[in-house]
Amino acid sequence: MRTRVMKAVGFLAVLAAVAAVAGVAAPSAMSSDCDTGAYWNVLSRYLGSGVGQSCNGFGPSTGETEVSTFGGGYSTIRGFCSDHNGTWTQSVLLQYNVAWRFFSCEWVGVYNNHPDLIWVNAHHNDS
Amino acid sequence: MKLFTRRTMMMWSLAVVAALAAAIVAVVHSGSSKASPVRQATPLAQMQVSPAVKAAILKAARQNGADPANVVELGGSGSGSQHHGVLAGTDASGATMVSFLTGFGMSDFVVASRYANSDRAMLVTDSVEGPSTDARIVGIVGVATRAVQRVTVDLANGTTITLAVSRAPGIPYQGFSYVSSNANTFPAKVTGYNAGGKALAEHTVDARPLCPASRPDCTR
Repeated sequence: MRTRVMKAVGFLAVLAAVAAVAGVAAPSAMSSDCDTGAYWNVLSRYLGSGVGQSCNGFGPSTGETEVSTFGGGYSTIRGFCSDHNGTWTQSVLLQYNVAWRFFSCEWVGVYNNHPDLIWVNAHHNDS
Repeated sequence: MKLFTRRTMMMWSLAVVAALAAAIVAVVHSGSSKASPVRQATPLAQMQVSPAVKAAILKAARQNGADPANVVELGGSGSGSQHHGVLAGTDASGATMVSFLTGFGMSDFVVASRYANSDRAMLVTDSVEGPSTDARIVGIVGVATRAVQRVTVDLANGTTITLAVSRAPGIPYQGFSYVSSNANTFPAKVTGYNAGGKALAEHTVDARPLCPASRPDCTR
């Protein structure tokens, strides 16, 4: 019985270690979890300093509108476009809750250019 | 003539005090030595942008409640896909509405007093174009109240230039912009001064590329 418990504890420890390593090793700004069904369809979560998230645009021939609200007492945050390879192409300061209309954008995202972890909401739409 | 009589000592003291006062005034007012040149606004029809961009401006104005018929550009700079400027118009109540235009996009029109008012005389936004880890085009666009008499830009190479501002009849604000594709002349800091040379507002430009060289696909 004691051996089984020890084995189970060891197994859980290995699992936890693997999960921790995977978490640390994962690129901090990978696009993920773009919830197309939610209003905040780019993200609605805490975003670390120097971290961004982007989502596929609605169409290559149309513009993208992006709007963001965020915490930390800041009045701006950086919105950006990137290509399908993740190569950043353009960025601009977004004013709090004022939409920005990118004339053409393959992927659209938001980037925390502030020094601290803040809550960020971002929404994009076909403009 | 004796150099150190009571009267000459007083005169020397007054001269020193006057010289010090002049020096202090010169330092305090250094920002007002040259007011920004004032230009007239450019009607939308005369803006040097593509028909597609003009169509986007008209669409945004209609959607945001600004009268498309009276939209003008304040402080346009750059050409073609690098064109920057402030778009200004009025809503149904007559309130000024503004939008920031860069070469690759524009903001919604919002009431100008949100950006520039008695508490904040000037608001500047900035834009950077890549690709990847290389910032190639950096621009600024700003709107200010009429309290701002001079707008300067500190450039990456250490020089400071005075920007022209544009005004339009019936719009109690002024707009300006600057764009560069040369890293030596990227904007670094924008300052707005009042008539007395006091700095009313500053904006530090973040001209860095979004992605560090170690992570060129950081925005994926």
